[in-house]
Amino acid sequence: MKEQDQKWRDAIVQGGPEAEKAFSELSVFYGPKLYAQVFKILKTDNITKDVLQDVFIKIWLNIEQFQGKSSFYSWIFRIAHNEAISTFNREKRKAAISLDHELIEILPGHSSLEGQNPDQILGLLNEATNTLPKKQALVFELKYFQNLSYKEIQEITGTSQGALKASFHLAKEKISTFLSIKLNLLT
Amino acid sequence: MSNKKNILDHIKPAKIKVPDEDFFTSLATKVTDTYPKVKATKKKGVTRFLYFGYAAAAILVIGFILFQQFNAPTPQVKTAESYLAEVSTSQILEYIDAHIENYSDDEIIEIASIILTEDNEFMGDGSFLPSDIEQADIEQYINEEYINLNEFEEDELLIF
Repeated sequence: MKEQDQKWRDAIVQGGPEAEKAFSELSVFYGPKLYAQVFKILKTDNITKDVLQDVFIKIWLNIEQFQGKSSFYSWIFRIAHNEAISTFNREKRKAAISLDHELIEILPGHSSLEGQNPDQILGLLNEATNTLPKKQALVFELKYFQNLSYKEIQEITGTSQGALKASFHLAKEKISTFLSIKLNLLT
Repeated sequence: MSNKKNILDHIKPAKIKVPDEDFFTSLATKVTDTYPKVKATKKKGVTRFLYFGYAAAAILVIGFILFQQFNAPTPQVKTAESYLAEVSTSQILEYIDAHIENYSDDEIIEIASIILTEDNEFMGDGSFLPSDIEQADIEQYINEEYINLNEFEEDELLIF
């Protein structure tokens, strides 16, 4: 676990005003990344904010249980992912989730993508990401969707940049294969 | 159209506009206000020592009480005298008045001797009779009842 994450965790476990201060700092640091992660799945600002509130409640109430065996961000990433998927499955039964704006742009040059709906492609990307191991899914999210540098991802996850590159390469290959199969089946 | 490049190179994720810092600060405040965590306080050395002292004292007291309980003398079987000692004299006299016919002279004298030896109220001036009875009244009573003093043993007469 990163030194800063450890400090935040210890302060929050102790309780009192120091805990509130640490939690505020943690929220400002990780909040934008979690928002982007959840928004990509739910596509709506209001629902994303509601889910994010639930995510931060879980972090605040359960941080004592985090033992530091993985990176702190891996832990909160998993909480956010589970909350987002759970909400997505619940909401899509009520009505189709409206898209505030397109979250991906399809560039010309690949026959399988010709004439495809960006929203449908995004759905397939989310589906493909769910098939990845936890660590690969996290790296893919941060590198591909949030466009962070390997150095930034290293600071968050504590994994070496070489291992991150290998992980991202494997994730990308798996998702490409998944998309190709799905799109060829669709056409 | 070439498909040699990875399909993901043809998909460009849009940058997601995230809320500003104030949103996350207020979100954190909302969470901590809704679920406050009280600061876990550490006991100071002296206070902790006192608690240990109290605990040790409590153990000693409990041990002493248990020791006393296990070593308490076995209760003795009560005798007729000790049962009578728990009954007030007035209660005994009331009972005797009600059941006088059921007792022999010897039993009555025995009960009377217990009363005389254990109840100082009746031994005050050495007389069994209340102090407000005059000698003349007693003599009159003896004469009226035809009591012959010569029939009594010497120690039985001491009650008069």
